[in-house]
Amino acid sequence: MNPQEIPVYEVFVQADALSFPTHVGSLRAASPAFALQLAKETFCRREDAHDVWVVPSQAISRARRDATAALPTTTSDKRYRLPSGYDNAPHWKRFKAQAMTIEEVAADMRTKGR
Amino acid sequence: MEDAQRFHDFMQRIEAGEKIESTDWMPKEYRDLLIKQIHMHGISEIMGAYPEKEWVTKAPTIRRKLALNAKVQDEIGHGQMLLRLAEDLSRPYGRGREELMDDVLDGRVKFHNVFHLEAPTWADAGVIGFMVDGGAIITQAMLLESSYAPYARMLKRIVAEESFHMQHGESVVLALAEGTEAQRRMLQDAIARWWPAMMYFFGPREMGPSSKKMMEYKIRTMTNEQLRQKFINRYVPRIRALGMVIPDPNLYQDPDDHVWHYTDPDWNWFNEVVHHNTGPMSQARLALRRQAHTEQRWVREAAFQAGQVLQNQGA
Amino acid sequence: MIVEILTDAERVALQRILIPVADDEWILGHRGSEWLGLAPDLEEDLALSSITQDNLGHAQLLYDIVADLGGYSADQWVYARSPSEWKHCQLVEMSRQDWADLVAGRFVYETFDEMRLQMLNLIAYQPLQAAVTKIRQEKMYHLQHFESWVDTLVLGGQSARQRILEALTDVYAQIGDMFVWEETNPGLDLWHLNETARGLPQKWVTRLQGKYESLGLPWHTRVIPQAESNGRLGQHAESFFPLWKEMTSVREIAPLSGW
Repeated sequence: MNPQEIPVYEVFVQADALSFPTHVGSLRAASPAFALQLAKETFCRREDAHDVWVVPSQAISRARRDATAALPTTTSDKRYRLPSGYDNAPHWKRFKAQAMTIEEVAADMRTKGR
Repeated sequence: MEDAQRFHDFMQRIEAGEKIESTDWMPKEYRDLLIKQIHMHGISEIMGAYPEKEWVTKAPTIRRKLALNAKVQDEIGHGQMLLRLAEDLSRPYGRGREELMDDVLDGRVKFHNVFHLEAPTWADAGVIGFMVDGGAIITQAMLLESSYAPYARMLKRIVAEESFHMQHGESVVLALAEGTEAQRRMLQDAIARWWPAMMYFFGPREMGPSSKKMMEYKIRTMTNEQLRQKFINRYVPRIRALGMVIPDPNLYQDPDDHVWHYTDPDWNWFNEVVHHNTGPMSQARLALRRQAHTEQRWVREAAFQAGQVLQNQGA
Repeated sequence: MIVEILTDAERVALQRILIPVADDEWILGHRGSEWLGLAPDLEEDLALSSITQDNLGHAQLLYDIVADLGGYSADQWVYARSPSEWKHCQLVEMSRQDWADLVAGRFVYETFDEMRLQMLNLIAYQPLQAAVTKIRQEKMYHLQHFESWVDTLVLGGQSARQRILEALTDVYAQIGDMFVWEETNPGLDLWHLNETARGLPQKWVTRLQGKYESLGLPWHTRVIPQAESNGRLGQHAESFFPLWKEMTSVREIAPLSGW
């Protein structure tokens, strides 16, 4: 590889305070400071961002690249740790009470009062 | 693992509609086809900046000047994103940005036929957005299904931005169609100029061996002719609705099978243009690219060196 | 007190203050557009184009304020004036040159413009204050960007250092009219700007001298050169006429039509 090649930085953009930074692409820049300046124009020409991260490309290790690393895939039955693995509603019904879902709880939290 | 076994497993993943990542094992042929496709696509985006750029300084309203600036910037941005993908794929060959950019100057990578042509009036700037970007969207929307995930991901972003380009182009075209006789004439001339080029844009009726291979690897999913038919079907009624004439006496849609018939572009002439950079503007546009890339290599070298100095200072 | 309505005298005075500022930004944006596809690398092309769009956008904001005070629309200010009615300074109309020249010119201009915007902020007219706040936010990035480029070229080896040094020296000859305000403009009295305006060159020299010294560049005590021709009075270099002709060429085909 050409030794004079300007280094590559991977760019992560965090859209708002409650989002995780997401990988959006990469760019070449002489320094981290320059990479941050350029990330703005390369990946946020239209939308605002809460924060931007730049990481030297070579600093990233990827599971897919390494045959020995375990990729997070589930083969065994994980239903016991998923909400879909439970079926409480018919039981609640038997007790004449209503089943709860997390969405409904969250929605309740957004309304003031009881 | 034996290469034959690896290849077999790889093809099974492709058949199953799985997506490939840059760090996955891939057959050399797949890698080379991707490099060829993405390199050409990226360079075309960059070369596509030049015909429109001429019109930024002449744009007739403040809004148009801003919009055309933004559009050309997007094209360069797409070029940047695609070049980065091609650079990652080219790593096993030890080739980076500098060489991939040199390639266009040395004639080792082609760019789209349309960007070898003249854009002599403001209407051309509009028609490029309307028809060329429209055609590019059709091709790129097909590539959204590509088996190479980094390409498909990037295209999602690119297509979203292209939709602004299409709107911008349409808006320029509509303003001219609603304008004075001189403006309408300008528009008609531009449409007549770009129509044959658009018929070439999607490639020959009978696809070449590498395009066929790309279908097998699901890098692309439709034939040239399928894409061209989609384009004609979309653009003919709209152009005619504006009261403009398409310069093809043989253009008609078969009422039974809905297939459009059209006059073939001068395949030989366009092939010559694309393969040997002999179009009316090929050399002038390459000269601009050379100004940017070769004549300013010193700036990139200085940036590289300054970066090293800062790193050693621990900054 | 910040006002939203101006008297007739104030309107005219404010228009005369703002037009040279808007013209500077517009012409800078026009020249910046010429760099599309020609920056030293793709990432820089994107950055410079954003700055160009900001420049054109700032001009538009200011032309809009001027238009609201009566007379021409923003588009007319750009497309309906003759060359001698343009009031931008020489520095911004210079044709596209070497990257080092661009960096030097922009660094010098943006340093000045930040000071000029601070001065405009003294005018207690609400729409202008809103515009200036917005412009200054974007300008911070522009100055940072070009200052980074100055630093980069200084650190980028002997030849790059030489080039930026020469460019910073050459650009000095172009700044004579940058600081000039129309002396007969009653606005300077109305908003008590005279003293600030007179102080700008010295403030600017101090800032630049500091920069030069921090980079280890030689600094010779300098005086702002006298402007040979004064852009603020509509006197422009030869290179402005082809620019103006090109800029207005399409619109001229049908000046009253929609585009």
